[in-house]
Amino acid sequence: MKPKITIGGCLLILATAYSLAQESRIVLDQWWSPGQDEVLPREKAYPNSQGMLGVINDDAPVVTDGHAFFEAIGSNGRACVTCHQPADGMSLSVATIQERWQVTAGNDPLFAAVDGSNCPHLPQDDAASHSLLLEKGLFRIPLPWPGKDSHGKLITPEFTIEVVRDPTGCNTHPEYGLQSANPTVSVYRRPRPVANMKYIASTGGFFNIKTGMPLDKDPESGRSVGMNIMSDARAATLRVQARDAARTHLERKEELSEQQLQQIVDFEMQVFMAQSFQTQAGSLSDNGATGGPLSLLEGRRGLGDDFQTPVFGYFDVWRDASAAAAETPAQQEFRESVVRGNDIYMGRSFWISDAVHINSIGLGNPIKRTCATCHNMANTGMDLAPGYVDLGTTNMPTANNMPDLPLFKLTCNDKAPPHPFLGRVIYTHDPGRALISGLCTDIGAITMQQLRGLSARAPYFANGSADSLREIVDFYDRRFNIGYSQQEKQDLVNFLSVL
Amino acid sequence: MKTLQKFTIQVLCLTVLLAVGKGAFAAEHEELVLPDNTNGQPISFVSCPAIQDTSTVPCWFADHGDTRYFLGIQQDIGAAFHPPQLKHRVLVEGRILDGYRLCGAPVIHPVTISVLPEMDLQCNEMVPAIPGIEPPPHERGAGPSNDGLEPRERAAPQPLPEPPFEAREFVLSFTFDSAVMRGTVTRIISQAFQYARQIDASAIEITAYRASSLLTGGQELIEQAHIAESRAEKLHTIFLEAGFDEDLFSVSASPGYLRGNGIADHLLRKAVIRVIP
Ligand code: HEC
Ligand code: HEC
Repeated sequence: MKPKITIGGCLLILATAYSLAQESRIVLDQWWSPGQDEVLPREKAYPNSQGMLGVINDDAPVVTDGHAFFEAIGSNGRACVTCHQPADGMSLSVATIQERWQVTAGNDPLFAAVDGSNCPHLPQDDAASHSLLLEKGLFRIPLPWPGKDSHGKLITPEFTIEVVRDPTGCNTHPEYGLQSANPTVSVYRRPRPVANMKYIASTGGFFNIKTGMPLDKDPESGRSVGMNIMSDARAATLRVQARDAARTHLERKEELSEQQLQQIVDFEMQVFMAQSFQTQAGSLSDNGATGGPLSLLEGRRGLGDDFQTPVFGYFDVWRDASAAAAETPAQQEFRESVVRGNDIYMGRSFWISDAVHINSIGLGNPIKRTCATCHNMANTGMDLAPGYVDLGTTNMPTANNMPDLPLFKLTCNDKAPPHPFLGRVIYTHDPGRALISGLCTDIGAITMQQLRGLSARAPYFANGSADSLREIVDFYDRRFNIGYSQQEKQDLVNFLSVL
Repeated sequence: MKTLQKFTIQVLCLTVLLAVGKGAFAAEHEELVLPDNTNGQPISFVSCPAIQDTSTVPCWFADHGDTRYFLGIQQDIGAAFHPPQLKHRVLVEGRILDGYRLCGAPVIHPVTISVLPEMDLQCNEMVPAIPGIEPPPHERGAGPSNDGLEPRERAAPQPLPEPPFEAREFVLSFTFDSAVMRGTVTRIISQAFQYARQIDASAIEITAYRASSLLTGGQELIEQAHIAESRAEKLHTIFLEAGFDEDLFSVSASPGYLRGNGIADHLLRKAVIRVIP
């Protein structure tokens, strides 16, 4: 037997053991605590329900003792790693959150009142006060209203905001709400994966082709940025983001030091992650397949919505049954399904309609295209242009039913160009980019996340409204009337699960 | 090496094609080039657009009277024709091109399309594919593009101007009731940036206009009163963001509006950037 196969087989056994452990509800502790002070190795694989996620630190093993990303440098006992866990694709799955609640009887700093509860005024030892986090993996994101533009200037919004439904009590609260002394809108969002940042934290040209206006700029260097960080693209750079995260999530009173900032950004720029092993498919980087995190180190940045350099070309070797060298018919079958899923993603066209910043930018409404039209960035499946798009995940009437989320009514003034497909009165769970830009046309536009490590970090969409990959596919099928067959749905799910 | 790459690509394309089984991909075609048609009969109207499926990319139409005219096909953002949007009426301005039928319909060419900003839910006509009705030859199908290995287009650097420098005007045109700068406009703005930097401009004047469009039926459609200011303000912001000094600018919105006469009225919805040495 070739040693390769032995390793593959070994991984298979591990993964099977893990699935068994899952089924018998044994908790495999992969939690990384703030101040754990161990070394995060150069390469490590973490089991998840689909197999394994690989995490690579390209520079060197990370000495986390004293490291600003890994130490509780704020006032609430949290570190950045609290919500950006290696085992969870540098994000945080709801399964992990529930596990922490159980293990710590709700006392983990993760559940801090500030944003780890539905609203800080609620009784904090009651699980119901943390329901959005425990059920959907959502943190409260309090944003000042009106907000400031990237120069720090107060914006003049094109719309007013009314709170129609306030299940968390936060948006109508006298201290935290819209009518408080510091008017604030609370929306609820999933953490985003902090890895593969080489692709995401990029610079840009001068114009944003989606809006025709200049891209935001790095306040320090003055260079234009790609505007793909955070659901609403409010952080121009990772440095801006880190300062904000320390002040909000960590409740740190003083500014981060230059050295801490540098340490955080250096770490973020060199950590890569992707699914590396799939229980049925086996290794994702053997025999010519190039999945897993390794190929991300040297990967190309750019467009992948073309035949020659596809967004995710990792599994093309599996097209050829003999080259795929499957060990069992089941493995062969799964690999073929992944290949079909990739072809659906790249090539199966449907009518993309009423999606602002895609259908409204000169492509036509509807446009007959594919998943890769929006998710076009090589290696990550984000949008190379600023990726905030109103897909309909937060706006009525297309949003999934989320009765526990706040509901806002936004009314645009008469002079403002209306939201192209919803007009001037819009009901939404999260105005997204519009909370930053104040533009009516941006209401409900959410920056797409990278499609890597999905198996490690359910639920999905910024508002956690899809519990599984299947629910994502079902959302698209409904939203765009695609008419996928059961087989096509399963192929897409299998494909997404190996990224 | 190169042949190998090409071969792999072909195999890949073929596999994708077979897998999808619909043939919904680009055939490698040159785009169809239509004659200038400078003397064609002018036509301007507002109506709901209609979209019709084909075996590849859809065709776009709009009705005037009893006639359904071909406007263009779905391509890419860089294409000259930007299709209409359902849920919106469209202002069509152009000339009737005699002797052509595309996607089975008479053709308006050249054509300017303005998606009217307010919604109209009655504009919702999608026609299924009709056998035999196909789009003209085109570059991009309904799937990925074919230019993955082509170098990205870069704006060709303009030759350095020689002194003595002269004042130069850069004219931008907009769709009806809109101040959005699409790619054609931002390219001209970039040229203005470049010239202003090259000659170290002492002043930059921005004048924005609004206009009316005279429809074929005799009705005059007038842009909203605030749209000239919107255009002027946005351009001002864009120049400041590009790093030009506030002191250089005089920015104005022309009072009143320019009156269209039914011929090339789209050229009146404009802004003029004057770069002065
Ligand atoms: C309490 C949980 C929590 C903590 C602690 C936390 N984050 Fe986050 N992080 C989030 C959430 C939620 C988002 C998404 C917010 C949004 O989209 O508006 C996010 C987004 C990010 C992103 C954007 C990634 C992308 O691709 O858009 C980065 C980078 C990031 N966090 C870094 C950090 C750093 C650095 C720290 C420590 C200083 C930190 N985070 C601490 C929850 C947390
Ligand atoms: C019109 C553009 C568009 C198209 C077409 C599109 N997506 Fe998305 N996708 C988005 C946006 C925007 C988001 C983020 C929405 C949010 O978080 O609320 C997203 C989110 C996702 C996510 C969730 C990522 C995460 O980490 O939560 C997945 C997975 C995904 N899309 C897969 C697909 C697949 C598969 C297709 C084809 C069936 C597809 N998308 C088609 C725009 C698009």
